[in-house]
Amino acid sequence: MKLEPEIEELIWELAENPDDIESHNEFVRRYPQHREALAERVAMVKELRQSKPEEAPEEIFVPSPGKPRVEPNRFAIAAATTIFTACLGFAIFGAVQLYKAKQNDRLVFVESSAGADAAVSAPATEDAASSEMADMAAPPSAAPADRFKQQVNINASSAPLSTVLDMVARQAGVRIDSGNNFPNPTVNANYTNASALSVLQDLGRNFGFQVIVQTSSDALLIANSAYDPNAVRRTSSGGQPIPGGGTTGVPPSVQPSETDPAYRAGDPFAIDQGATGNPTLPEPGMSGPIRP
Amino acid sequence: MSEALDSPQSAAYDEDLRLLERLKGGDDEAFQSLYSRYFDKIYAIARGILLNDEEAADATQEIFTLVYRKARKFDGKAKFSTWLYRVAVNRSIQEARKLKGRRRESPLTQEVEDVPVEPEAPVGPLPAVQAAMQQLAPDDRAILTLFYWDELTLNEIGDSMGCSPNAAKTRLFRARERFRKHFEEASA
Repeated sequence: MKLEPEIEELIWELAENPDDIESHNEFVRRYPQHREALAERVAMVKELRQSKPEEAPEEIFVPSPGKPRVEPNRFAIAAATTIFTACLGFAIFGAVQLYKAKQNDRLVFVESSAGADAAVSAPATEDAASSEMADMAAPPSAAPADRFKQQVNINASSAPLSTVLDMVARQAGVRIDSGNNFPNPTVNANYTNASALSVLQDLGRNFGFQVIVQTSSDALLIANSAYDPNAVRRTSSGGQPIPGGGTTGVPPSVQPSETDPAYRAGDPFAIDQGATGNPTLPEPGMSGPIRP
Repeated sequence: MSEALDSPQSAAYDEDLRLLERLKGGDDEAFQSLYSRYFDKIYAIARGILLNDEEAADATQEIFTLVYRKARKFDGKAKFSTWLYRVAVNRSIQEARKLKGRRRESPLTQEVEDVPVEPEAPVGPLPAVQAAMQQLAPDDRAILTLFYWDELTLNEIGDSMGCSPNAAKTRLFRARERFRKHFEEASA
């Protein structure tokens, strides 16, 4: 039987206070029809309270705080972070320096495109089928200041100019850089006991580039066409005219004299031509490029 | 000194604070005193919620271990007993839910093994009470335990269960109605 909420709450209240005899009697007098419900509820609550578990034998508590907690030391964290950052920075710096060093060790030649200097390369490619090179020089042993004075031996037949320059660089232990659109014709070269600088200058005279010695072991090659659109090929040391013009197509007839002051004044690389204004002569034993 | 501070509850509260201060100072014997003072109440809570003596004993040890580890950080804003009851209720309810899951799985194993089980002698709560309590949710068992066995007030029950006294009263009313229903079924 479902009781009204007020009656239900009253019965719970009385059941939880069985010693309050007066209240019980008053409830029975007012609600005789709920007398049995009250008796059942009192018995139920009494049984519930009696069901409280007996006190268990108290066990001895053994504290087990577990693993001791390690409090982080802020100073140690800051120090470790600083050391780690320093190591990381040093490692990055070292890697960058190593990368730069490797880059510096590498010779960079800009390959000229086929026909970039048609006038020069055309005759050379006629017998380009066979290429024969001989690298007869000993490893460089001169001090850095003397590297361009290092004697080199070059014997190249139908080889690209870049290969010949590479041979010079390796034998002398120098670095040779070239600018953009640098010509790369096929050449024959035969130099014996000639200094690296004289070989480069002779090649430059014959194939239209200037040699700029930047440091004791670095040289920069710039094609004549790269700085002077009217540049012309100069004569070789033996006076043999070189078909010039390259991509500019300037005829040899406009070639200025080597001793022309105006020409020298406008030539930023005149230093390579010697103090007298004359082209640097090949050294003994230097036969110069052999044109096919 | 005021009357409130002279009351037994206030004295017990002060004694708890003194023991906690000693514990924070590294005196482990102070915790032994707290353990002795509250063991029975905590065991009763765990027993009422878990309805098993051994599990209740294990849970009681776990509760006191937890309290031992955390007691040094107890800020004293609430009564230590309230905080302790709350830890006990939460930990016991949590354990009861775990056990409920395990009991659901266990019958399959028993069927396979077909091991004859001797009927256990009724220990602790009377059969009808035990049967009715087993039908209740752990939360209902917790509030009935706190009210009828530990005889806490509605304010204390509210603090222990993380609710207001009015909410505790409502939850108590609903819990005992559910208990009455199951009790009457078990008694019939």
